[in-house]
Amino acid sequence: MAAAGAGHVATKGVASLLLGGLYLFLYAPIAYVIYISVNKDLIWPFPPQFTLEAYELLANSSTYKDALWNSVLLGLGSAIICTFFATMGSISILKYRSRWRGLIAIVYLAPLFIADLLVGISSLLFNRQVLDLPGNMGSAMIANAVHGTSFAFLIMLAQLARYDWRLDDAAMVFGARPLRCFWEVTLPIIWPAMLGAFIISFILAFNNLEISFYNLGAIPTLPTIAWGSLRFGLSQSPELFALAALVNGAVLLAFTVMYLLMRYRIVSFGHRD
Amino acid sequence: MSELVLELQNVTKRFGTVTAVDRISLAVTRREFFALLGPSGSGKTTMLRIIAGLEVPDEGKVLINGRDVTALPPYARGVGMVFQNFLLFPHKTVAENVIFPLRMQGASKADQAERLKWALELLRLDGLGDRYPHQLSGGQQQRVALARGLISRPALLLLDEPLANLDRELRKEMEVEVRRYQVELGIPFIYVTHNQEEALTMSDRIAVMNHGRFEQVAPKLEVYTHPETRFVAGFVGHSNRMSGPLVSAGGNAHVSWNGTPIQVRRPDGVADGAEVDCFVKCEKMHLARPGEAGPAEAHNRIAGILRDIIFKGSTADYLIALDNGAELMVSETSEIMSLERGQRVDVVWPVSGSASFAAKKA
Amino acid sequence: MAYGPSTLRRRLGPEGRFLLMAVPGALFIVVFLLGPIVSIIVFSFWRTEVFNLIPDWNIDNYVILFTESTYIEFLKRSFVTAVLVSLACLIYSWPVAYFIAKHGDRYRLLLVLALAAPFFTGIILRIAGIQGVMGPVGIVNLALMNFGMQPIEFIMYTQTATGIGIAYLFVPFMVTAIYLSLLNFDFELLEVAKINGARPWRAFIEITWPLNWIGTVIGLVLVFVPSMAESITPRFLGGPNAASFGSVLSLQFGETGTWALGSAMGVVLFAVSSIVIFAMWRTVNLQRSGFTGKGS
Repeated sequence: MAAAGAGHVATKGVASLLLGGLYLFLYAPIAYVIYISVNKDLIWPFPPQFTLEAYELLANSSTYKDALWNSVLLGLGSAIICTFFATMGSISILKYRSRWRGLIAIVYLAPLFIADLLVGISSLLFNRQVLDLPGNMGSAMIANAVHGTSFAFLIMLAQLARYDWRLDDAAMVFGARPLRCFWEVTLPIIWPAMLGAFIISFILAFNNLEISFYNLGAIPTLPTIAWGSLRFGLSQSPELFALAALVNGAVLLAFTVMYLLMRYRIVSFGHRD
Repeated sequence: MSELVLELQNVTKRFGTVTAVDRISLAVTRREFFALLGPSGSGKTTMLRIIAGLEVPDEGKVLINGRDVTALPPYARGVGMVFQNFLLFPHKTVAENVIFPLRMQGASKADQAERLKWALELLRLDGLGDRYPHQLSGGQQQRVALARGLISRPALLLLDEPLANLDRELRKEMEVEVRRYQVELGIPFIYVTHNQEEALTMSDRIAVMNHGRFEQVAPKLEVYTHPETRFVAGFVGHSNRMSGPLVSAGGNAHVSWNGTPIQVRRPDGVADGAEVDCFVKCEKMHLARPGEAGPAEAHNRIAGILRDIIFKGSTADYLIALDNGAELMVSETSEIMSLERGQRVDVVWPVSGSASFAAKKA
Repeated sequence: MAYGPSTLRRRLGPEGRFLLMAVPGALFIVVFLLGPIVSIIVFSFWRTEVFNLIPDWNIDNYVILFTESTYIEFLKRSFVTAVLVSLACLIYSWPVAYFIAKHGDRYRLLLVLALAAPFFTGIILRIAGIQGVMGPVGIVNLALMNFGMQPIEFIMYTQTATGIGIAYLFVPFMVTAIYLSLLNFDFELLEVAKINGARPWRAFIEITWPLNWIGTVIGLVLVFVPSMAESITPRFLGGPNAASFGSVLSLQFGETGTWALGSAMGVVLFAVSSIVIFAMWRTVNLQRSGFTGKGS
């Protein structure tokens, strides 16, 4: 009994060490870029000499400003498509018992199992040769949305699994037309899921390199510019560190917001558990 | 002269190969408390959903106040409904939940406030208007669901096993209250349940449903005392079933039950030798000491040993192991006799307490 | 007009309404995912001439891919790297995911979101970060040299460095997949096994592992597929000469503009991934996986 208890504690200890190691592995590079971004010496910033030069460079660079705008546009466009399709798909799968459910779910999830690079190059050729579309914002939004819809769909499924669709029945019996019912009953309950799906698909498209690169033609986005800078070596481009620090900060902020929303959701609908 | 509120004409609904509702016709009048009683899967909830418009029937018509609403969606029918698990909107307060139907109808703010006050008072929910559903007890949630169903003065109120999730004490209390609201409001209630006690307590009329069809539609007392079909006899009340071939002897019909002849009323159109099920309600049977004279009309008398006594308060169930190897359950007032387990007793009952039907073909 | 919705309702059963809602998105994915895949399969049998695809049917592209040793070498290298990275992520992620699911209590969500978050920063910025930390002139090696020690050789422009970099990119998939699986796993089953005499390891092998095998398979596939196609990490962590199948593939669409050959490489990549996914899925026995068919 004592031996088993000790073994249990040891296993727990090892597992928590592994968990700590994983956080270190994942966050050390992030901490590093943030630290470098506010330092003068990019190679060996010890002892630290703090400066905001990198951020000034970034702020004054019109290339980065255009790229930022393009990335935001790409992210928004893609996220709107993703959230729309993911909402429709997840609701239909959870609400209706159809014999096509399995097939539809496979279709919605299929993009997860195809690499970005493959989506990028095949969409490039498909748009160009088959649809006769040049590489532009629209084609990049669509190609990114294919991937993002899967992620958004997964998030919606996980969040909506607990929604009781008979609430919609109740609303309809009490006189709510389908749109009114969605607006009054469904939406107020599922909006955190939709927001989560929107944020994730926005971030994915905003930061995507391999799909966007092949489908944007000559339009620069932050990842493509960053890729260009990275090829000349890290030490050559201080503004890259500033950018990385800002993007990391924004992503972490978005996740914090999502976390708080999920906590809030649990608090407000706790009666279901 | 009572006016017709709800009428179903030959309504049929199929799900794939299963016929959930099979050519059902029904008329419910104003001031009627109508119970749909049946085991789970009998089609009673589907029928309620058809009346509400949540399912569209494959065939037949639904009329409410004489108007054909078969093709109308639920939001255009003007019925109230109380759902199983209440289905209160979790993100709306009690008051918002209750006035929801009025808002959908576009009622004026003043009207909404007035009706809300009325509904909360009627259901003794005063002071709870600002609470959220998850802050309420089960009984309070139930009352909110009722208030929401009633507030718009619907043509009729549909109730789908509304008391199934309440504990026994609360259920007894709510049974009386629900009945009171129906009498006060004077609108028909269609009440779906699998619990026969609920149906018998509250309703005026009962439809017993099985496999999508009505087995019997009648005032509740009649359903209880004069079951029309084998299914109703077995389902309503607590009965003993005695099965065997039908034999005629001395002008009377008998069932040979494990070799013991039981005098029965001859079921219609059943020839001698056919298998027959005879049902006798537990409380229609009585106990007598061996040799002691039973009640005047004791057509049947079988000897056995008292196996167990299940005390239930004012009554008790007596389990008798008969000499023919079968068992019978007899309900009697608990103080009738000082009986002990293992004692020999006779079970006696009159033919009038029995109902016999041709057995289901195997 | 007033009868519009009701007549529609009569015609559309639940099945119809399901299709009305589900099909647009599915169609979108089929057109813009399957369409491109089918088109590169077609173009892989064409020819490229100065950035133009010529419908001149031939199998030369595949002949090149399967006869020139460099392509075979790249394919082998990418495959082996992807397999090893997937396995490493699997071994590391299981205890971590298990720990969060079992002992995370009310911090579970926070812990797992914190693991997923770095993934969303985008490949380029993440590679910039990891290169800065463990590249040849990264902070780790500089620190070692500063203290007069030898730099760690095996992470200086090596295949190992590439592997670590790829694992860095995709390990969040693995942890999340296993964690989500464990979240729906009833840990009380383990109590039952133990009461019936199973030791902890035995209980794990008999109960936990098989019931979470689907989640594990999904994690493996989600890591394997992008790892196999990875084209950027080798360049920045593997050194100037460390090309991968993915990086050579992307070259066909960049500098050289040999789209037909690139398409053929894409088809090979797709085929390898599909075979791996199919083979992994064959190991799943839905009846014995605790899968109920209900989206829980």
